[in-house]
Amino acid sequence: MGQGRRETRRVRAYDKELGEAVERAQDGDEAAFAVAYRIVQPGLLGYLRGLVGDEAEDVASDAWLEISRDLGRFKGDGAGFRGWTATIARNRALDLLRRRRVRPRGTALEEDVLELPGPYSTPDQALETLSTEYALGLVAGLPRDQAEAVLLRVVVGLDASAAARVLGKRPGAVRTAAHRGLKRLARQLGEPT
Amino acid sequence: MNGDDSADARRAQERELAGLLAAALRAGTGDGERAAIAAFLLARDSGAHRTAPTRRQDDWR
Repeated sequence: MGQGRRETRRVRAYDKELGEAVERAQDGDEAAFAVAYRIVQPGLLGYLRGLVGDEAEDVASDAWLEISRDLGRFKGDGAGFRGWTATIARNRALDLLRRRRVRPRGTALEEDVLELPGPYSTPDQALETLSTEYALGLVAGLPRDQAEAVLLRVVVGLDASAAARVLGKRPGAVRTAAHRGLKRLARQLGEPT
Repeated sequence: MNGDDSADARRAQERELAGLLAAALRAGTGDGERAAIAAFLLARDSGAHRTAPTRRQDDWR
């Protein structure tokens, strides 16, 4: 049981450090900016993997150019910075999806649940660890609102109100969508394939 | 039968799953750090960080 819970806590554990780093970076401290980058980037990249698949790194790079440029505009704490950066990353991802117009290869959210890679033979095996690809396949099987809610809550580490602001929805709707998404995934993992 | 116990167990399973998803999808940081820092330095040294106004979407207080 332990590993998953520790990871969930770990995602949000750096918010204080992040807030301080952002403040120093806004005062011009280059090293502090690097600290903020390293705290935020894993969650941002994970979120983008769920949105645009293989092109997540490119979209993240574009997002960071905007974040770096507009850093002086931001007001808020560490948790706020996660929300602000996730919004910028999401807008970049949606731009990319609009530009493509057609269903792209490797867009995790639009892949078919039946194409889940490498199913595990027993629930016990599946719950010990998940590969990135398998986790993406799971998330891809969710309705889009549930997938984004799960990604923002769990992978980026936003609370319900910050996730709601990123998505332009009510916190209650995001809470429900994340809960339904996780419930559905738990059920899937619990069923023999 | 105890409904509360099974609800607790389900919630625990979902929390565990959330942690596993986070661990799997947060793997790696890519290699955009240097470009991001270069953009930061450019904006800083041009004074953009001091002059760009906070718009509604930038205020997360």
